[in-house]
Amino acid sequence: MDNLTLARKGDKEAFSKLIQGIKSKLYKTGMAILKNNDDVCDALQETLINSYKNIKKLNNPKYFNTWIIRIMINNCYEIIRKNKRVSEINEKMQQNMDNYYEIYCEKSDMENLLNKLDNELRLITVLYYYDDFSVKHIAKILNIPEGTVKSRLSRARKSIANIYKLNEDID
Amino acid sequence: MDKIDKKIKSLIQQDEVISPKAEEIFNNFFSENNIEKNTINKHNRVYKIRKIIAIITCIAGLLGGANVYASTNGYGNVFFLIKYLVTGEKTEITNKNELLSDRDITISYKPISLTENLEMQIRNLQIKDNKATLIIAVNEKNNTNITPLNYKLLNSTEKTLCEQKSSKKALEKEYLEEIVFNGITKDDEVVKLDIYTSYNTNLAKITINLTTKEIIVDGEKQALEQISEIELKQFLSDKISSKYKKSQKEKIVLNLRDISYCAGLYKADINYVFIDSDNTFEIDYDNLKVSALTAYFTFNKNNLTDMFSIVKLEENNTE
Repeated sequence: MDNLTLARKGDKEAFSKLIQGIKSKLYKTGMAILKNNDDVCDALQETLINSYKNIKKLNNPKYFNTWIIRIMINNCYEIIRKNKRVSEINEKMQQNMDNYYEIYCEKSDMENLLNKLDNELRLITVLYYYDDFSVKHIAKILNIPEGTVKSRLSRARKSIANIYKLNEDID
Repeated sequence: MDKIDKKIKSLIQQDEVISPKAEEIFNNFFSENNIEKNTINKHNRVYKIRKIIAIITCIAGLLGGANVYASTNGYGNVFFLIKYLVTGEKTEITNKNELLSDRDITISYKPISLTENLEMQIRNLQIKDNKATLIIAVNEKNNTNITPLNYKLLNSTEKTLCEQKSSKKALEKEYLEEIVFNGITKDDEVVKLDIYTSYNTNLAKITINLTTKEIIVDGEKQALEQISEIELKQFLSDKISSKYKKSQKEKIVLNLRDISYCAGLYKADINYVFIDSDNTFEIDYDNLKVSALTAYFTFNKNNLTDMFSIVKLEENNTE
């Protein structure tokens, strides 16, 4: 029996293995939305508990990744909603922190790349290029039309290509 | 475009770094105990909240039940009952609390004139087993086309306690109405009685104060304040004189015993005598004949020439 079937039957070890395989995707997706490590950790905690409790309800095992990423995204949006009141104050603080990090800390390539993208492009980029979801799946996860996913991906692609001058390299 | 996608993908997927804090969350979660703990903790929280709510609900239910028991058994409320059980001393119940125990409150035998031919006395309020009965006496002096009446009782917050039709039998002129209602509490210092005609027009609104036993007819105070006693006396003197004076020498001396108002109609209880106008300083008090009558009249403040109009003059027993 595969891990997913075992996990659905309540096998904790099998569930852990499933999470192990997707943990960085969960984290990157959270970072793409929240841009704040503490908030992402809160969302992760909730996602792990919610998914462990509800995995029995997952009807089609082949959609496990889509399902758990959707839970993660929902929890991220929930955190945004909760933080909305203080977000304006935090935004200024965050800007200052961002400047600090840019000057004194080295960020990973991916974080540097993502931070140069608009909010709506950042999540699409992570879902498509990092999490390996198809356009169809992303449309389902984000509950938006496939056309919108494609147009955002196209914009993201152009931005990234410009940033890294990929056209020149490939050419 | 595929090449660009592949390049971006390889660029992005190189980075698998996640923060130490996030890594710690995963590691904690992966340990079997922590999965249980995380889940159990969350369950425990919900369970504890539910447990607290259940306990509070049980206590509230018990207190509510005990309060009903205490109030119906003359202890006032649950705290007095507990005090009685502990100390053995029964707490004296105040006037307010007495409203919920068996009582028979005499309210008033003073008649209220609803019309010139229809009088009402709000006599008693009997309270037994939390059920109240308001006893009203009705007197129809002549035939009237507005009976049988309809009654509506309200509490101090205008909540309807009951609506009831008159129990009057076809040819009855004097009868008692028993208006049975419940829902009265010790906080209700007043009950309000709305009286409607047989064709459902509001005839009067009466407020009964259960503590002071005062009866207030809606609009009576304002109606009485707007008439001048001097002008009324003059008017009644003229009317009574023109009807009962036997000679030009007689001069009326009139005393207003009482004046009341209900449903647009004023009622004045009057004593009067006729004296000889030539001998006002030599009155024979022993043979003075004092008459009594009740005048029913209306008032029209906009008509300066005929402010008052007599509806009925009713002779009473002569003293």
